[in-house]
Amino acid sequence: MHFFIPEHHNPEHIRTALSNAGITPDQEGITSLNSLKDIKNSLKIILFDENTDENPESFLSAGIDSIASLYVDMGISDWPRRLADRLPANSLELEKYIKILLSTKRAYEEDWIRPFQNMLEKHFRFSETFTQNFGIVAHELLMNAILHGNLKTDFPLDKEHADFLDACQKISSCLKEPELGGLPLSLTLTLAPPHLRICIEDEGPGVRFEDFIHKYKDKIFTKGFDYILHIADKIECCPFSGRITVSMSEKHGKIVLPEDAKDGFSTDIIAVMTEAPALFEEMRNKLNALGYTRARHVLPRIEFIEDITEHSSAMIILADVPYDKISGQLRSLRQHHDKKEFSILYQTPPPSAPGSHTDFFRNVNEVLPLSFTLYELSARLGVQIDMRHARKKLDTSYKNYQEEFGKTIHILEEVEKQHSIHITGKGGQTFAVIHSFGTQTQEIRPTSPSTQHRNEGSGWYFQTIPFPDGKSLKLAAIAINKTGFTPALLFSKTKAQMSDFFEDHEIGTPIVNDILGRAVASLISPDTTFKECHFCTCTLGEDRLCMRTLDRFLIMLVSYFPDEREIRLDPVDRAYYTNGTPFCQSISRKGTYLITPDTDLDIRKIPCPAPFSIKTLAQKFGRPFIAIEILKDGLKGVSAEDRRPERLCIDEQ
Amino acid sequence: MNTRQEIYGENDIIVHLEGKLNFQDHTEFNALINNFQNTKKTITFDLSALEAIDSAGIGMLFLAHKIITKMGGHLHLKNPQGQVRRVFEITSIDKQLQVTQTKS
Repeated sequence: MHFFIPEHHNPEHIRTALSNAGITPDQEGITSLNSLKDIKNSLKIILFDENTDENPESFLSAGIDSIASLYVDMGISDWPRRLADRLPANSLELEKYIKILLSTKRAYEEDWIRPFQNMLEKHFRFSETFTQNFGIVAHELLMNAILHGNLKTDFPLDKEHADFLDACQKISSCLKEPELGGLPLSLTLTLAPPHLRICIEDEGPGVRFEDFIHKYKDKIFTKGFDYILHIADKIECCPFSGRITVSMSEKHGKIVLPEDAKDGFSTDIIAVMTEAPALFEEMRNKLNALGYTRARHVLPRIEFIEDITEHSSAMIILADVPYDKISGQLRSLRQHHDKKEFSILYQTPPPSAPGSHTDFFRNVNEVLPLSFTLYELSARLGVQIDMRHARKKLDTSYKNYQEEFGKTIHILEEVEKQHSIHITGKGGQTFAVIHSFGTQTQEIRPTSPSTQHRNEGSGWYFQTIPFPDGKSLKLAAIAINKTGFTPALLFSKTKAQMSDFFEDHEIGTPIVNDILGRAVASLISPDTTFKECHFCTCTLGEDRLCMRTLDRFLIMLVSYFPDEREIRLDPVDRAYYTNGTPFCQSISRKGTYLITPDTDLDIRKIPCPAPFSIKTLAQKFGRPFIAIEILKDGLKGVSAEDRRPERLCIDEQ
Repeated sequence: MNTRQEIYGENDIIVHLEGKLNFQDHTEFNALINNFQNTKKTITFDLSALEAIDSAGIGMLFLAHKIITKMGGHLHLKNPQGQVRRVFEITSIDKQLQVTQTKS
C-alpha cells in the first residue's frame, strides 16, 4: 500500500494516522507528490485535508470509507473494502475534506466520471441534480483537457464534420491508450459538502479565459467550457499550466443567472497561481534556451498582482488588447487590492504603430472600456485618473461606480499642458501622449497643435501621486497581451532588495518587462546596476513592439526623473530578440546606443559621450531619448558582420 | 447511441435517439444525418430516451440542423429529459433550435 501525499503535507502525520488505523505502508511507503509525473500511469489515492496536521487520524478514518467504495465501484482492488471493514461504521464525517487523485488509466471517459458520481450520491448525499451537474462539468473538463490541453487541438467555433471526426478520434484514442499517447491527466476531487472542487490537470499550455469567454460571448453555447461556466461557482486556472479547478456547490443545483449578469456569466472567474513544477521547469528551459538563464519561475496573474499591490506603490499596465480581453483580470485586480496610495498607469498601443495589432483602437470608442476600467480602479483606490478621453460617454456609468464604491471620483477637467508629454513619430503623428499629475513631471516636447489630439484615444494614461522622498517609488509593470496578464515585476529601490526578489520570483514572460523594470530601478536608484538584461518578444509578438514599448516607457521615466542618469545594459552572451530576430545584431557592439521613440526605431546616429545628460540631449535634439551603454562586446554565435548594428547607430567615442 | 426511425407519410421522420450522444458517436450520427441529405422533410429527434449529451453532442445537433435546413427541411427536438434537458437549459439551445416538451 502506497500513499502519495502533496509535498507540503507532513508525511509523519500521515504515517502515524495510517499506523493507528492499522494500515502499514508497503516498502515504498509514503512519497511526497512533487509533480504530475509522480502520479502518471498509476492509480493512487491521495488523502489530505487542510486540517490534517491537527488531526490526521480523524481525517483518514473519515475518508477511508468513501475511498474504499470508490475503489470497489471502479473494480480496481478489494483492499480498500477490507480496510474499510476495520473502521467504525460511522466514520464518515462529511465535513472533512477528501482529496482523491486518479490517473488516466480509464478506457472511457465514463470510467472516469461515473465512480465519482456514485460516490457523491452514495456517500455524500448530493442531490441528483448536483451529481448531474458534476457529471457535465467533469466530462467537459476531461474532454477539453484531452483535446485542447494535451492534444493542443484548436476546435473551431463552427464545428464541421471534419472537425468532429478528427477531434473524436483523438479523444477516443487518448482515452483508450493514454500511455501510448503519452498524455497524462490528473483529475482531482475535493469534497467539503455542500461544496465540491474538481481539479483537472493536463499537459497543455493553460487556459486563456479571456480569449475563450469573449470569443463565444453572445453566442449559443456549444462549447463545453460554457457549461462549466454556468454551473460552477468559481473557476481557477493557471495560465502557465494546464490546470483548472472548478468549484461548485449544491446551492447551484439550478442555474440562476443574476439579472445584472448582462454578459450571461455569473461564475466568478479567478486566475490564480497554482503549482506546476514540471511546467515551470519546462518554461524555464524554454527561457534558458532564449538566453534567459535567470528565470526561476513563471509566476502568473493574481498572486503576483497581490504581490504588487502589497509591496509596490505603483503599477503600470501595458496593454495591446481591448478591454474585453482583460476585463476578468482587471476585475480580479480590483478585488485583490485595497491600497489607497497606488499609482496606476495604463498604456494602450498607438494606432499609428505599424504592426502593433492595435486595430482595436482605431476607433476611440473602443478605448472607452479601458477607461471604464480605470473608473473602477480609480474609485477603488480613491485616486485620480485622467479620464478626459473617455468621460464624455461614461458619465452615467461613472455615477454608478461612485455609488458602488462610495468614494468620490475626481475627474480632471483639463490636463494642464505642462503636465503632458506628447511623443511624436517621424511624420509628426502623435503616437503616445503622457499625461501626468503630480509634483515630478516635466514637459519634454509637446507635439504640434495639428497632431496633438489626433490619436488621443490611445497612448499613455497614467496617474501619479507625489512621493515624499522622491526616489522611493516602487514600481511594478504589468503587460497585458493576448494571454492576459503575463509579466509583472516588482521593484524596490535597493539593489539588495531587487536581487532578493529576482532570485525568488523572477519571471520570464515576456522578458521585455524585465528590462523595463531594471531600467526603472536604475533610474530610481543610482546605486542599482544590472549585469544582465534580456529582451525579447515572447508574447508581445509583433516586431519591435517591445522596443517601442521600452523606449516610451523610459521616456516616461525621464519625465519623472529628469536628472542625469544612464541605463547600463550588458548583453554579455545573451540574445536580444525582436520577434525571433536577434536584436543583438543591432546592439551587440560595445558602445553607447540611443533609443528614441520613433515608431520605426530608425535611430539617428547621434554622437554623444556617455554618460549622457538626458535632459541636455532632449533639449539639444528636441526629442526625448534614452542612452544605453553596452558594456561588453560581442555575442556568442554571432558573426562579426552580423554584429554590426543595423537599426541602431552607435557612438564609439 | 442507438437510433430508431419512424416514417410518417412522405415528409415526417421521427428519429428516436437512445443512450448517450457524445463525441464517440460522431461517425454514427454523421451517417444518420447523411440519410437526410437532399430531403425537405421534417426530422424530429425524439430525445426522451436519450440519457446524456455533451458539448460535442450539442454541436452535432446544430450540425444536423444546419444540414437539414440547408436542404429545405426542418429539425425538431422533442422531449429532452434529465441530463439532456439540463444541458439544453445551459446552452439555451431553444433559442436556435425548435425544442418541445410534451411530457415531463
